Amino acid sequence: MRILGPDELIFGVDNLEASAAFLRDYGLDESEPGRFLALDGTGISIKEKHDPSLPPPLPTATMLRQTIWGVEDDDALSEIEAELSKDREVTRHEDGSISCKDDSNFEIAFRVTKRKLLNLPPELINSPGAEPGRAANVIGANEDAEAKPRTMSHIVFFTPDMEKMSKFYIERLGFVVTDRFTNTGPFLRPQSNDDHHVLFMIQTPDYMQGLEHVAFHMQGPTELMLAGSRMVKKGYESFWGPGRHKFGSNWFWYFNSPLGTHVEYDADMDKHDGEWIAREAQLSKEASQMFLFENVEKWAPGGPPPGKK
Amino acid sequence: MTILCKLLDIPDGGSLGVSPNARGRDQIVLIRKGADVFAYRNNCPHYDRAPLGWKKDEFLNKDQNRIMCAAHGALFRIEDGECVVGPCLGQKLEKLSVGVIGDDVVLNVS
Repeated sequence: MRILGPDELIFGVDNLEASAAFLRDYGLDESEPGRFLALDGTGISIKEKHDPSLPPPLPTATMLRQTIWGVEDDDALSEIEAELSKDREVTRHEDGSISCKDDSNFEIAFRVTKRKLLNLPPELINSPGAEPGRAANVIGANEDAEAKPRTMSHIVFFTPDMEKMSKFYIERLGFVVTDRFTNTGPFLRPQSNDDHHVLFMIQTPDYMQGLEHVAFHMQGPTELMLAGSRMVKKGYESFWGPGRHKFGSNWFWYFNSPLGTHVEYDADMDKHDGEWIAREAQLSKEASQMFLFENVEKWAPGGPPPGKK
Repeated sequence: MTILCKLLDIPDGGSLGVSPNARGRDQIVLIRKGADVFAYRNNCPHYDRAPLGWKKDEFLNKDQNRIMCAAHGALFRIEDGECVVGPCLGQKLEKLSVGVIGDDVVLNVS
């Protein structure tokens, strides 16, 4: 199944104004009212929770209404339609997309991806012994640099039956397990995406079912720090990070949001192919991250103690 | 007894974060309904280090009738801190004893 990854998430939110402000400040572009996009066209759409055009809500606190997966082309879409029609109702829509429920009752849809191919520079660094990343006189620390999410990276679900849910994505949609936390869940990538994971799930009681977080890829660690620092400066609540995960190697910084889910910046995730053999570890503080920092107020060391000359 | 803020610092029907720790993170959430003030530790029972709001002083849902955890959307009753929907169903926020003395909101009134 030639799936690229999540193309768009649809939310029915409690506070439309606060959610829109959050997504703008996070760095997504509002392409039309209520639709917020990363540079490649993946993104998040929000509507007021009672809007009748939204897919039905789960009976939990989650505001996520639908996950739209992007696929390579029309043939890939037809292949998924044929597979899922075997045991559930799959609806074809006017815009060519299809929708149904997964095995855990999450609303899902598939469409030919709206992802634009990006051609952008990576983070450029100077490293002794290697060719300089930046030419002479090109400054690395640019506080005014743009820091915009480039593409949707991954989503993480709370699910009441991790076994059933992961089986659906692996056996029916061809997702590949890259690594696994014992008794928590597998890291999954679809066949047309070499990122370490676009999907992860965590086993929870049924009253918790929903979206744990959504993440977007940034240019690199510096851009991640810049974007996160700007969020803190605007008064947003940092939840976890900055730091660097072990599985996936991605840098991370998570924030609370009025969309009732964590929203993460990530950068520099591992890529894998069919040769990779999945690792397994017990979920723990140590296994979860290589290191963890916390934003502190700025200060500067000086010469003598205050008040001395 | 510790003075947390003035009563009028809290918008009526709204919320305010007070008592910042060394990292600047507010440790206490105050919610005001007229002359009544409700106070909770700024931590969701879900995790031991999960602040509730999404932004400075923003701790309520849009209708301002529930405390909302901006991690996963859990909703808590303002009066007793009990979670009525979401990941902490049946659990409670840690309630703190506050009172209004004169213009001041005061912690640990005996």
